Amino acid sequence: MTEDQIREIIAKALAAIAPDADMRSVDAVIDLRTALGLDSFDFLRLMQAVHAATGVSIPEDDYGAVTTIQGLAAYITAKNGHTTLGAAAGDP
Amino acid sequence: MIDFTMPSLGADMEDAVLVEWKKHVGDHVERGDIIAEVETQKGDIEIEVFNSGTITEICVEAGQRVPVGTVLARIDADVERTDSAAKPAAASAQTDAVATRGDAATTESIRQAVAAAVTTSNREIPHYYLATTVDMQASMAWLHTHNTAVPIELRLLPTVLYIKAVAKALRDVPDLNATWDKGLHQLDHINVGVVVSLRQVGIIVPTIKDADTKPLDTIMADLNDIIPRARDLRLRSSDIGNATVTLTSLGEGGVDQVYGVIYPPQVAVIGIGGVQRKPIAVNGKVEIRPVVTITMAGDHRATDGLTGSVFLSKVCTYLQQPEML
Repeated sequence: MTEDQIREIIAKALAAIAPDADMRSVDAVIDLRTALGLDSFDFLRLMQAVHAATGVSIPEDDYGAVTTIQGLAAYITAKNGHTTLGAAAGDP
Repeated sequence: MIDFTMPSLGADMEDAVLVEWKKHVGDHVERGDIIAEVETQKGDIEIEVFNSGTITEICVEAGQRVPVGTVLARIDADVERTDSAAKPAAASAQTDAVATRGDAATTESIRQAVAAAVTTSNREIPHYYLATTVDMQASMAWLHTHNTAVPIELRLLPTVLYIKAVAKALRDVPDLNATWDKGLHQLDHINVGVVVSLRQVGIIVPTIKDADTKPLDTIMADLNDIIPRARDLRLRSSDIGNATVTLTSLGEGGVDQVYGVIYPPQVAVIGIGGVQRKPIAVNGKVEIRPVVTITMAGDHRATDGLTGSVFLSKVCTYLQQPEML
């Protein structure tokens, strides 16, 4: 999975979770929760959408590293290398 | 013969305009068919019919404004539906499902509906306010353990604990699970209305029914079902309008505490602030712990501060024993 594909997955998930949000105001390094007004429910849906699309299950302890598009994409890229879809079905 | 009536979309909805009939006398309708379109403060709503049958009479012409409960049409139910299972459905034909449409007019009318409800509340209800701060260490640790052990689809949010703790405390203090109408009337079910932000649009309050008896997983599943539909303005009449108390939570938005406005005819609203790490006294020593401030606004005609105080203490006790929730 390329970085571009991962970013597209993230963009698609965000569009579904916050369809009324203005994505133009969101750059790669801004905190998504502040920029898009995501609450904890929205953020969990984002984590679930990422898991469904990439197989990467992000534990709550790592939420701090994935609050930006750049951070989230880097996290998925790093985990995607050595995670198979089957193994990622449950949380670590 | 079944009376098809104007459904209620909440305690603040008194009437609606019948905009258009989608079906006519002599038409055969199937359960789930859209039979008419009505205009409410929450936007234009397509009303579905819950019984299959043939329309025998149209009682309200397009353009008329009529109160909730008015018979709009009469339906001669299909024979196979009139026996056994269909009887209770006929008796509650008012619970017809509705689907709301998200457009600019809806957005504006939601704002107007919120404005009308809070204005009525502030004018008619003498609120009293209480607050307490609860140590969330046990709850947060329990959630963390749980969420680490389960698949990501089954993770829980703190909101679920708040809903359950509030519902259980209402069972202990039933005077707050009530309505006020020239007197206090306790209610049989504990249905917690959960304020959902529609971001720029306003708020909408779907209901978690019988929250006191539901396992935490079920409450979370209800939220997973209902919040996205609330945001898309695709709620059904059964999702809203039967809350017996309201819970508002600004989550991790950053504020310490939030004081709500009671949604009539309810008699209490509970406000949950964000979880903050603060120094508190624990066994005679100062420790940094995750704490949350819980507030309550009560209708002073219905209850006094002492009742609210007992209730908030119960909520705190439950949140400090998450394994009991």
